[in-house]
Amino acid sequence: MRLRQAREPRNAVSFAFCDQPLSRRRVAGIVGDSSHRQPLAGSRSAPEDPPASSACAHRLPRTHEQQQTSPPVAVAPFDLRRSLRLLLASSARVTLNRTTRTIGAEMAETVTDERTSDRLDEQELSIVEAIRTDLLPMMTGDACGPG
Amino acid sequence: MPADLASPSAAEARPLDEVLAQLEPRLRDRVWALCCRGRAVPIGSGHLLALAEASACAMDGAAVARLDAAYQLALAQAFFVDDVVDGDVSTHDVAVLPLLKELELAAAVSAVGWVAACRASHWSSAQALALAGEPQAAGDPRAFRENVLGRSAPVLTYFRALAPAARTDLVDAIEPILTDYLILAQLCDDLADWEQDLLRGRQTWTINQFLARAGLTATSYRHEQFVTVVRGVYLEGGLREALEECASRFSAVRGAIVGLPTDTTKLLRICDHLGGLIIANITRLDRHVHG
Repeated sequence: MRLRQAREPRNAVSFAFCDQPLSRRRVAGIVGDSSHRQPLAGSRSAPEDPPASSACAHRLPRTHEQQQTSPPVAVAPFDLRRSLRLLLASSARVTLNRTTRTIGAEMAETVTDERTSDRLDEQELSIVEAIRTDLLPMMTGDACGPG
Repeated sequence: MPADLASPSAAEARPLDEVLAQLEPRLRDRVWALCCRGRAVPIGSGHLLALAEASACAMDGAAVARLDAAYQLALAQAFFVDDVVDGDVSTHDVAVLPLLKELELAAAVSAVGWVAACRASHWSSAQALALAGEPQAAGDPRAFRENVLGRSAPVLTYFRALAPAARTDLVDAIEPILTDYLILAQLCDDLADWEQDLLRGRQTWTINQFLARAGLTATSYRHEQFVTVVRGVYLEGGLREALEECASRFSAVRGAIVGLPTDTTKLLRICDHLGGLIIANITRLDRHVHG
């Protein structure tokens, strides 16, 4: 990949792209109240299922101000114990509802108790969870791109 | 912006602040929050400044700062699209995306002119949009590399916007280092998200490595084997191996940066941030495994 390119005139257009703050009407259309808000098309998240407050061990805790100014993204938590419980439930069949599908997405909708021998025991599970919760975020947004 | 978000790195966030000052306060706060994604400063703050420094870019300092702001806005869009693809977004900020693009373009135009700004703005989003929805090319190293570069379109395209005013030899030297760093960053991110990715049926390089340890492949894997993979990763050394691989790549990237015949202070700071996380995680993991 070559990075050279022809030199072009700079500052051809003034930075004054907006000589006055956006009109109130436009702002209302963007910031809006709930009547302006539409669910995200294609999002697999269920709008009625907000993520738990314990989400985002990988992110800084939100401030009071941030919570008031519409958090930009709400990243679904990953709960290993919950996922394992769903995957390895000892009951014959566990049907995942819409909420739990947001965790496992397209994971199998039923599980059986045939995999008992594959389960983590409580001690193993505790170690795994301790490791998971102790690890630092590997990429914090300071690393040039989305994961 | 919320006052408590202005510190401790307010100085680094200033370029974006200047752009957002054009907005009505409520909208400005919302865009600021989108760019920060729950962090103290906007994502990507200072990356372009660091690349400009390392490539001895002769561009005016204010222009570089605005290009940095444009890049931060592009990055915010890329992250947001990635969250939409992942199904992680449950708010309604998608309505702000066109505004982010408009601000990005305006800031870039003021820095490098209309033609170069349009090119950077177009490719910064088009590549990310095109590739974010594709499954990671996890099996083929070359495809994986191409995928990472596509997902890293904002930094690559805005680096190109700097290039005409930079030293050609330095640009040519930095490009492969930046590529290696981006691949490292993607590996680290995949490592952080691997469980969710696996349960969602996504393939990543990291997941393929973990499946191979368990004698599985992406096609043979069934969710019933999830616990087997978890055990291999956390209790049987899989994570340690993956972290060591990252640490090795970090050392190589850092060494290459140090070897550049230019001022790399800012570039090293960014690289060391990621490297510090890798090393700290190895230490923490050892503490759990070995007491």
